[in-house]
Amino acid sequence: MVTNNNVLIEINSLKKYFPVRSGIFLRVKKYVRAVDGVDLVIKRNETLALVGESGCGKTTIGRTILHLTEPTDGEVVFEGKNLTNASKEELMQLRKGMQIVFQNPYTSLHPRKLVKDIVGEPLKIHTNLSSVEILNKVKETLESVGLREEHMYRYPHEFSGGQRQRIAVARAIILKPKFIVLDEPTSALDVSVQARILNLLNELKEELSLTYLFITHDLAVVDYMADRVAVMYLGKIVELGKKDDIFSKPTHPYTRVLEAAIPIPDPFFKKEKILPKGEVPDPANPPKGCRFHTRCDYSIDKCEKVEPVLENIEGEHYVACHRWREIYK
Amino acid sequence: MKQDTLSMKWKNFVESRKPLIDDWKHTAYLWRKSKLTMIGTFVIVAFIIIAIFAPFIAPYDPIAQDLSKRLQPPSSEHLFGTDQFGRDIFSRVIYGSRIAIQIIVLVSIISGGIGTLVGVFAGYFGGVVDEVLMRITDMFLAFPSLVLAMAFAAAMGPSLTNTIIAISLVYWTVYARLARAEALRVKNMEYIEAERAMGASNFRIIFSHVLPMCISPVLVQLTLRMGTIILTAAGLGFLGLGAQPPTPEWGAMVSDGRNYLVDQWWISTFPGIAIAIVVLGFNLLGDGIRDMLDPRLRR
Amino acid sequence: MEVLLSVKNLRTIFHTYRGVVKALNGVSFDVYKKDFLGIVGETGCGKSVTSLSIMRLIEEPGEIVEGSVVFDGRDLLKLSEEEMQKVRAKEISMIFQEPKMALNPVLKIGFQIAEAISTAEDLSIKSKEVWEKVYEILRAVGLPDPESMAEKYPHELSGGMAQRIMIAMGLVTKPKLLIADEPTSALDVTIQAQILHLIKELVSEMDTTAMIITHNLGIVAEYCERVVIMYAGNVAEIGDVKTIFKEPLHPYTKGLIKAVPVIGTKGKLQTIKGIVPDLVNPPSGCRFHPRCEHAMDICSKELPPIKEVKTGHFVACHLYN
Repeated sequence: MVTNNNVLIEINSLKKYFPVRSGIFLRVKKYVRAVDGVDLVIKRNETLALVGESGCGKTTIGRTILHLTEPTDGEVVFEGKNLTNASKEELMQLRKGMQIVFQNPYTSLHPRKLVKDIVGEPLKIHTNLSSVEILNKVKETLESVGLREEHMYRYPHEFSGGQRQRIAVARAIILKPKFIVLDEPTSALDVSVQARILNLLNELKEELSLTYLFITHDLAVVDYMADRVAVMYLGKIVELGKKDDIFSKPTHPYTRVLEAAIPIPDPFFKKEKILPKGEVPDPANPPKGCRFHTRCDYSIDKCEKVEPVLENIEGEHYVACHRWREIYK
Repeated sequence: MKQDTLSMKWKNFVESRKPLIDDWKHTAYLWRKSKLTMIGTFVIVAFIIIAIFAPFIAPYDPIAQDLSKRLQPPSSEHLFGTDQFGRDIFSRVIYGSRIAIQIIVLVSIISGGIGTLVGVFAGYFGGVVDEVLMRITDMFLAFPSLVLAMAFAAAMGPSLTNTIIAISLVYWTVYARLARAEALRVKNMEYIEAERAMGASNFRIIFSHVLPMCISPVLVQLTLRMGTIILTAAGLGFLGLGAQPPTPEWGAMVSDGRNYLVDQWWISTFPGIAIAIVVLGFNLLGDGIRDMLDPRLRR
Repeated sequence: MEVLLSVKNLRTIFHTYRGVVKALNGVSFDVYKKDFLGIVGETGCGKSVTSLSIMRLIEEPGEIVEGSVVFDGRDLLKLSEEEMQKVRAKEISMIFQEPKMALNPVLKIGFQIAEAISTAEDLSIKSKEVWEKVYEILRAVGLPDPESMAEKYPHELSGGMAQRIMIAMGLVTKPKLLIADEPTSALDVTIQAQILHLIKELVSEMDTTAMIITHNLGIVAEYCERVVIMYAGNVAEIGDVKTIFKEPLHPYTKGLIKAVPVIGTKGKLQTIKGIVPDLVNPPSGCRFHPRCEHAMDICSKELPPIKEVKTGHFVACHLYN
């Protein structure tokens, strides 16, 4: 691919298989194909939403980009540097540029550390600042996420879920990274708190010109946050496009099922009535052909045999479905 | 500017300790609610005080023999009577507390330290490291603890130091398993993953993030085990594999009185009572500490 | 409309180290026969405590200190524990958020359902009648091949299947009221849609009444007919779903609805200022007043009573007095 200055991260045919051991000798019997050949480009200053149900591999992609898990195959290129074969020192430098905010603020903050130590930790690892300089930096950062100086000397359990998530955000932005993986940052929070965290994230994105990979299963939040959307099912991207493409012209049958399944907080909203069929198959043993064919209303013989590839519909809208021409209007 | 830095550091120092004080207040509140824990605490505090002030409490030298006064029953002169060498049993019991404390403290530090480190490394790294370390632990666990301690003590020769080493070598496995379980749980928590996302080294993660989480279950187990340590030490002493005469070790003292048990019951009884009270005290305290640190009771 | 369950002035507290948590501060609402009622609110609003209080499942250090729960003509809070056990076995069923926690891991699921039937109807657990009912209900909750399903252990089930089993256990005794406490929060969206459809379908087929406790306004809007909105241990507003979403009256309800992103939201999301109060030291008067844009003098002094403003639309706010 051509290196483009607009591109921050490029993911090429990324695969991540987790071995499943069983039997007396714990032999590897099969692999869970969490991510099974994904190509994705994340542009500078955009919010790319990665949508799907649990077990579809969206979280694994986030973690592989950050090199928290080694990919089985494929590569991740961050600002032109290949992460998969970077040396330890290079990786350390690259880590300063990317951070993560986890889903559950109750488990992502060390319970025995004071807030000042949690938020100051990245500075301790990556800089040689004095303790007073770190304290000042922590104070500034906490203020930028809407917390106060006195909060520095408390333990995480003294905070509400929303405040904890602010602490986690502060930790993520203190090194002024370029890219943040947001792994369902609001799904453990109440609605009125969620709104404030989402607004905060949008403000910070403007202020620090950040790029987000927003991992979620809530399409309403995607609509509010994202520029582009990638829909995943069982380790594969099934549909990719600009937010408006995905919401006004959902093409893959799975995207349509997903949109119909999300409860909309508006009793007057009229939407397609599709009741999803069946359950998500075992990712260690995904269906042959198109992985969605077991639950798909449009399934034909070809779907059971041939795996569809991402095809361009128009502009930046891609779909992996044999029958998209009939569905797309 | 200098002034400013100093005042900031001072503030940091003071404020950082406030939550700890709150935590202590909460613990004190839970402590007051449990009578048995309070009794246990008083017993152990008294035990420690007696050990510290033994030279002031004990009326006689614990190893001074006075054959003219051998085998005297308890009286106002000799509160717990005298043994076959005319030594004052009360003074020996008092001094015995020093030996007991020495054993407890050293065994706890050695076995707790080895166990925690082994467990944390095994749990955090997993794989081969875990297999090797845990199989070694299993080997130790395969023997009954007293038999193993006897074997070590007999092999190294009977002495107080060897008793301590033998007991430590037996008990570290308990803490290793505990620390491993905790490390396994903690290493998959998101805050450890966040730490790795920042680029922290394994060394930093283990020592400043995983280890502190593993220490409190180990500490609880240590207090619960202190009674057992005394019992084991006394057992070794009783069998002649522990501290050697004339050291006033409680187990050895019980053993000394064996032959006189029918007519001179006091020789064995008083050190035996001392063992019973201290073991009970540690067990009550250990139970109490476990309950106080139980997160379900803390909120 | 006939009232099935009438909760009046319910007060539940919890004794903790930090002091007394006033979890429910005089909660009153009615559930009508054949209702599909949603109880919605944020963490700590008391929605789960309400359902546990109705079922009398509040345990130490919690305590129901005041109020009445009149169900089918009897005050449940005055029943003996034995009588209450009968009500739980036969008349009110409850479904929880974590279906796998509510199932016994060492018993086959067929046996667990059969046990529920046999205690409710006083039949022998081995009788053919009971097992016919087991298979019938398994089929009704959409599980194929009920005979082999009944032979499975809970760990062999997916989250969605386990929740179907819980629904089966809840409805097999034909209860007069089904309480579902966050029944789908642990499930994926596509499974959530299936489960909610199933509950709705079965409840209307069996002519019974359901109370869904949730934090998700989307679920309320899409599945419920009436809704009770709770805030910090009080009922803020009650009404039918369409009215509440179209013309919310309570400032909290208004804020809540505006804070949720809907597909097609333009501009910034609106938020409610401040944070949920600490229920050890709740604000005086109306517990929402420190966060309310319309707060008046009286709001900090008096707790607003719940008043019927229009037919079937109740609100507890001094603005409408």
